[in-house]
Amino acid sequence: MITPRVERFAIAISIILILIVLDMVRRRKLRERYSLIWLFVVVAMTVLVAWERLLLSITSLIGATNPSSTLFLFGILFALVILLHLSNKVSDFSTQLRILAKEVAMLNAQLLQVRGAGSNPVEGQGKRQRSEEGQG
Amino acid sequence: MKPCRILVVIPAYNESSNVGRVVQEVKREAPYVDVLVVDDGSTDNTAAAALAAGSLVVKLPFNLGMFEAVRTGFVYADRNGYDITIQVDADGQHVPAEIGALVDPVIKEGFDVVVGSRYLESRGYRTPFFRKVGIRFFAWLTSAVLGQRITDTTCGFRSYGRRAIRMFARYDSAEFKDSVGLVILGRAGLKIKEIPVTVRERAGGRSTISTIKAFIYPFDFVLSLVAVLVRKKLTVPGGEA
Repeated sequence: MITPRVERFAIAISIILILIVLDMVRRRKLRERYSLIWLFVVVAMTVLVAWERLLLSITSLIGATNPSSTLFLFGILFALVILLHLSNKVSDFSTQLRILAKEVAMLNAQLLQVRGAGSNPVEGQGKRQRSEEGQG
Repeated sequence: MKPCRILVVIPAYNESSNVGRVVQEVKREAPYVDVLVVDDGSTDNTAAAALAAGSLVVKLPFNLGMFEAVRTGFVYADRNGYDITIQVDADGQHVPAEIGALVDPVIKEGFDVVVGSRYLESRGYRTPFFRKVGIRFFAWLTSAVLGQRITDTTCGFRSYGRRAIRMFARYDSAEFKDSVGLVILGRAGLKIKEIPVTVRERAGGRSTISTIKAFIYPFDFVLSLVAVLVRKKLTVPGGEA
């Protein structure tokens, strides 16, 4: 059973999480798009905790014996969804990064060719390399 | 027949001790080709060594892996209007004198991909036992999927015609690695031919395959193959870059 104390505790945690998410959006640490999925998760968990009849009916629907396991189940499911979403984003980013790296390399080669027209391209490349090493 | 522009792509990662020699040998054995070294984010002076040997150089900002380095070469070939691209490894294992044999089927017989095989004829290349078992397995699976006999799927010494170049250059997210690449190209209707090549023992540097990679490779291969088979067939993109 969800006791009033557990309920108060869970709602307090939800409110703190919401505040943290909103604050991160305010400080531009989190894009609005990503904040949405987090806010949705926190609100959904709060509703499950506060609306006891809903929680109980879901519990009997999925055949669980204890309402708190339903809460845990949903918590884990939400976390999984967010992780999947992030994996998807990482895949996108790595593709984009590869494309960008190739474009940079191609542009660099073209730039060297244009600059090196007339002069010795080997020397040009050598100089660039040395100056890079100097910075690093 | 119009003259053919041929680009030899040499992917190189920390190969400063070999790359210059390979570039020079390619230029000597096949004076009719342009040579492009793709420096895959090396930390030594691979790019400078390649330039000194008279090669074109594209330097990636960080290490993307052998395959992406090769693909960078294809993008270069696609944008600069080359008709044929040949991949040659920077460690000096491939024999530049065989470039002609690799190019001929593309020019004269209209093949899109010509794959160098170490095992089509016995030419004394020794392979460690476990690697041989793996290569046999990949070859068998690739042959079955393609409906065409392929004996060596991991040898990098290959030539590609225009249609294959476009496939590689423009499908950014597709993985064309090794045999999976052959399967993608074959499914797109490209014609593949295998010819026997000689592969030398390594002159210097270390093999790119570490123990962990060798262990993961078969799983990666099967997974990529399944991914290719469940996805929609790719078609050859047309038009200019």
